[in-house]
Amino acid sequence: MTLSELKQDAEAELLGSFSNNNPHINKVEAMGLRSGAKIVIRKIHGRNIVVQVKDLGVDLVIDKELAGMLEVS
Amino acid sequence: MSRITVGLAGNPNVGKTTILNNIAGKNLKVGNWAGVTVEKAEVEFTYNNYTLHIIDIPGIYNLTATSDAEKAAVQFLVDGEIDVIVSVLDSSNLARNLLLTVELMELEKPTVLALNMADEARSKGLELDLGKLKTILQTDACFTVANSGEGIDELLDKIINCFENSHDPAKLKYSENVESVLTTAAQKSGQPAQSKYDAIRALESSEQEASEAERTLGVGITKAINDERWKLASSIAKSVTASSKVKEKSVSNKLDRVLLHPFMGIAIYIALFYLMFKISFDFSAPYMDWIDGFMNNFLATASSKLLITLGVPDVVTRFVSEAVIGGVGFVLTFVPLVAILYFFITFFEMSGYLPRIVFMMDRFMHRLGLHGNMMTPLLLGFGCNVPAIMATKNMSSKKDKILVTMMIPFMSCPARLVVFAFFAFIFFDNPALVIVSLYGIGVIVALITALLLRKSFLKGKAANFLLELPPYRLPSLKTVSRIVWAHVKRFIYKAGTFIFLVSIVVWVLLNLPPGIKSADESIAARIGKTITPVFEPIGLSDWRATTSLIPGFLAREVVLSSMGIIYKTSTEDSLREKADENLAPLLKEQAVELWESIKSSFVSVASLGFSTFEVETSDEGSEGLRETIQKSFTASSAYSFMILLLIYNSCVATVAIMIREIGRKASFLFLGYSFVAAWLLAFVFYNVSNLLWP
Repeated sequence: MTLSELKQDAEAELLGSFSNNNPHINKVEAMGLRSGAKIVIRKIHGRNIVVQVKDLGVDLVIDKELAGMLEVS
Repeated sequence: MSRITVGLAGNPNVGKTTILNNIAGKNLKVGNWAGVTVEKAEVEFTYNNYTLHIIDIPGIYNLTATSDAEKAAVQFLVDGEIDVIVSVLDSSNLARNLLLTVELMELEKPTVLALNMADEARSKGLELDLGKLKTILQTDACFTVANSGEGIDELLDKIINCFENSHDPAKLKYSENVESVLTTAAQKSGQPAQSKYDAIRALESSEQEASEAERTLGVGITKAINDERWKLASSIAKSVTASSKVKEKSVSNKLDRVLLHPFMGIAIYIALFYLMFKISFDFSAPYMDWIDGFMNNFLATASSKLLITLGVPDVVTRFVSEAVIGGVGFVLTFVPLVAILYFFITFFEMSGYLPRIVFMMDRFMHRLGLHGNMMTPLLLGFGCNVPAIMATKNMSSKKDKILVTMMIPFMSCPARLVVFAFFAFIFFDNPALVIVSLYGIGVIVALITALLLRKSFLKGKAANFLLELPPYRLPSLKTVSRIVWAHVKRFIYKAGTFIFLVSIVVWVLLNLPPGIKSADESIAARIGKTITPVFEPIGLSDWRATTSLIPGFLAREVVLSSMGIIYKTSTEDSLREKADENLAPLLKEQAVELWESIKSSFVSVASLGFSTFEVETSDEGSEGLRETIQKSFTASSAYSFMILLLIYNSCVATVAIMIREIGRKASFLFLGYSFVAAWLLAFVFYNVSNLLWP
């Protein structure tokens, strides 16, 4: 399943991305959302999802289109 | 004396701008939302017999750019003439920050690490082994706390030391497979790469080599390299972090539960921004009135008296009291309002609240074909349109950039607020509501413009939305005050130079050709009278009002100073009377009024409710322009005039920056559009209001 399918407060582990060499996905990964990261969905607001990367303690906002390219466990 | 060029690089919100601010005492605008450092800020100063040229580079997460600002940052880091790179890291989030450091070190340029926000790391229970970090990366490093200045001198010493020893950072070693692929590719190309970064880029750009690498590694070369970088950054972070018991961001999480709530969050946002304007007006209005009175009642009289006593010709005396004091001095009266508004804007920026607004507004903006990222430059537009348009460099697509650039001029800046406040206080019982309504009209016109553009010239969907929500921070009052002071100085500087020059030109135009008996015969009047028929349908049949619009194209504040000259020139001629005034009682009167203003400002802020917006418009003792304007306009024509000033394109500086960012053709099309839109809106409002309230 993808990150965009997760519900609020759901916890998951990122497995990787479906996209290869997409600069936006590269940036997402550089911001901390990369394979192996443990995440919590803090809030879903319209097309956006607030994801907390637990290991890093950072909150990121990502739109559902990009989130749909990220595979989660 | 050696000159060292230093680039400050790092993720957004790690405190690069604050470090620069602290080093040089240069008060830059700093904030907690992604992409605030869009402009390249730089400073040059002498330190220990070295000339340090420090450049603040826009925040980036990696060296793969997705926006214009990131492209500029990456290009500068890769190709720019930098002697030393300072990699600024957030000490409390080392793993992610080290990822960029690793990429920077692939450039193989002299690098120093600044582990900033060391105090936050300590408070989170993190203990970092600096010595170990230096050993692993074979580069110099130090802890810094930009807000307090801790470690800044040490950082400067390390920069100089790094420069003097040409201390190249360690050549990073990735896994054997990856290194082998890179070496093979370099051998095949026959051209040795200048750095690991160049080797990776060369491999990625060669389709054949990249395919071969993918076969060898089992994954694409970009992914393989990214994984290597992350592994390295994580392992370094783990090995230098003695304690990783990170405290939760409990305060931020609790605040976000309220501030990011779909209804409460937006309600609080609206309430906070309304309160910001309420407090700004209630607190500043008494001081505005006092400065106005001081300028017109005391300073103008004192200068006239002095110059007449010295035997200076009347024309020079009038020049000083009308062009200098009546023009530039008039704009200075609004300094308290500008300062308080900037205080709030800066506070919201630095506290981390503004990225939340971007997030909250994205849902609404997306329905209009926009996205929340556009809110950042749009909000900056309320401060000044020029940096706001420059902040569109952060848009990831050109269409988005043009779109938001064409919305920004409708965001009312303090320069327009100066004019609105002046008219609203004269003509309306509730000036704050009138001003809020004008701000609202500006926003609505901006949104309609965006919708029209999305349906016509700029078809397409909004770009992807990606943003970091930094933790809430209580901004240091010292830093906020320094930033506010910088804005106030810029406002005064603008008033003191640009507006002064425009005032001179206007005054001269009003007093030429030589020998005229009144402004009615001047060149300015001829121009004003010529264009008046265009504005008559919107209630502006007075040539003096239309004449003041001419310099208004140069800068909004100038409308008032020009009116000061135009109206006073044609209605006042009481120099000799002023010269006979006794200054001592006038000065005493000003002192008493100042004390009353101080008391009044605190009383009106302490009282809550809309009634406190109804600031008295009868400024005792203040005469001249306000009274004259009151006779020349009606409430309808005054509002129509304000709509015109609000909607038609901003000052010449905005036009100039717009041309630079989106091109001449688009800018001039926008100029025509904004004038037509302004005229039509003013026409509808003026005629409807006259029908309803004849």
